[in-house]
Amino acid sequence: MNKDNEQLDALENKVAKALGEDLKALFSPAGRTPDEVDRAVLDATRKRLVRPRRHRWRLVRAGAAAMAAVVLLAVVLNVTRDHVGRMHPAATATAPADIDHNGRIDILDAYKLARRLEGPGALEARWDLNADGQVDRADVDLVAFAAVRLDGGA
Amino acid sequence: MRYAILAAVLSLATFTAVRGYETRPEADPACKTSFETADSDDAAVRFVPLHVFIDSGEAPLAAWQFELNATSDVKIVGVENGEHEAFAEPAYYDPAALMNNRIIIAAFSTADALPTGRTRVATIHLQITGDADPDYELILTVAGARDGSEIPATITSLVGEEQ
Amino acid sequence: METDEKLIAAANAGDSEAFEALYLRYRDWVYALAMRFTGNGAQAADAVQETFLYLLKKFPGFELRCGMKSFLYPAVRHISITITRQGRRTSSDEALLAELPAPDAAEMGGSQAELAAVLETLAAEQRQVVLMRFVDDMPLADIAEALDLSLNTVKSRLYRALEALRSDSRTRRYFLD
Repeated sequence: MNKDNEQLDALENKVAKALGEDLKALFSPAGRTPDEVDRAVLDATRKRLVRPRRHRWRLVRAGAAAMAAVVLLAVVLNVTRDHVGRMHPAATATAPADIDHNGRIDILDAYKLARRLEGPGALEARWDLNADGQVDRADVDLVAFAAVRLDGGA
Repeated sequence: MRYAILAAVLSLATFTAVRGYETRPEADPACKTSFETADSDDAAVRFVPLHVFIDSGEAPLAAWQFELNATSDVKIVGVENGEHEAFAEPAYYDPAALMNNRIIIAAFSTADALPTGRTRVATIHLQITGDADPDYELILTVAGARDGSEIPATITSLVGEEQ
Repeated sequence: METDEKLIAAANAGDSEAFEALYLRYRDWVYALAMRFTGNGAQAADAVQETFLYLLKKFPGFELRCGMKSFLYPAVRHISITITRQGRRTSSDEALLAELPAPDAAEMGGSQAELAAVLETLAAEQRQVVLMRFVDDMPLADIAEALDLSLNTVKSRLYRALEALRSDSRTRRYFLD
């Protein structure tokens, strides 16, 4: 066996490329994976591995984007810091994301803003939460995201 | 002739495989090192879907938000949409909730056709360590009507494949 | 191109596109391998699906400690054999033969036919190693991992197989000396 091991490298070096090519040709399947298999696997993948599609925060991009988001959300939530430094929503009803001024930020704030966007009424400048000069769906998403934050949402 | 040779090649490959399989019936599909890890993981960890339902009675449900708090042996690994087409858009949740045991999920719809009665609003995929049933609590934060007002509703859940 | 390790890490974090990339990277190889085990296109397709669903169930929390082919090979083998034994979709020889590629002279020249004939004379475990080495292009260490054998055993089997091919006049031309 030792002899085999020692001589294998030398023998493999003598193997012509044609051996691999002919073997591949012999065992090359005529068909290919059916599309139905692709669909089944990819559907299962999307069901099992779910990530937030509205917030495609890839880890590799997290740095600057996350910093900007934290700053923006801090403004939206009007967060303050308590004596141990934990972020929490302000107790007052002055947070910009508190659209209905009920002292709480929840999905109804986002819903009401979305309804205003679709309605005929005028849009208020204070709803431009991301300060991009317009009140649109991005602002609605920002309110909704503020509502579901684990460290300061509803 | 060539047809027969090719058939022989394929049958030989199959014979090789069957023979190898029969001599190692316990062989599991994995390389040795990761297989041991994977096996032990399989024994200790399982994945179950948690279907969450909200019942708003006769009132059309335009918005909902709930919070799930689970024990530390439960991890949230995915969130799937509910059943009504008015809520076909992905629900909102904090990405930090994934692989955590707490999540706040919310969604709204401005569609004309809204669900009434009991409707599955989300399915949360849980990774559970150990054999015990998942221990969790669901809190309905708010349910909203078409006009944006809060409406009374109840939240229930079901673990497993059945919905 | 992202490495397998990076794609696995991303899939563990919930990135379905990363798993899709892994699927597309190994799908055709798994299909070809399953065809070797089943000799049947429909069964091979079933094996592809079940192999990747098996892999998918490992996520999140999947940790790869060997080459991806080393991990997948025994899975494909195990699943293919199970499917073959169940006679799923097709089971008759006629149906199996119907899945085979059309054997015309252009596709299978005389040298390939002779190679196939010599392969038939090899011991099954030697033939297996030859195919993994030259068809699947697997490193020896990966073959050892996939078959749960020592590296020396794999080397020994491959050496004996190549010696047999070299000593046979029908396949002597595949060696340079």
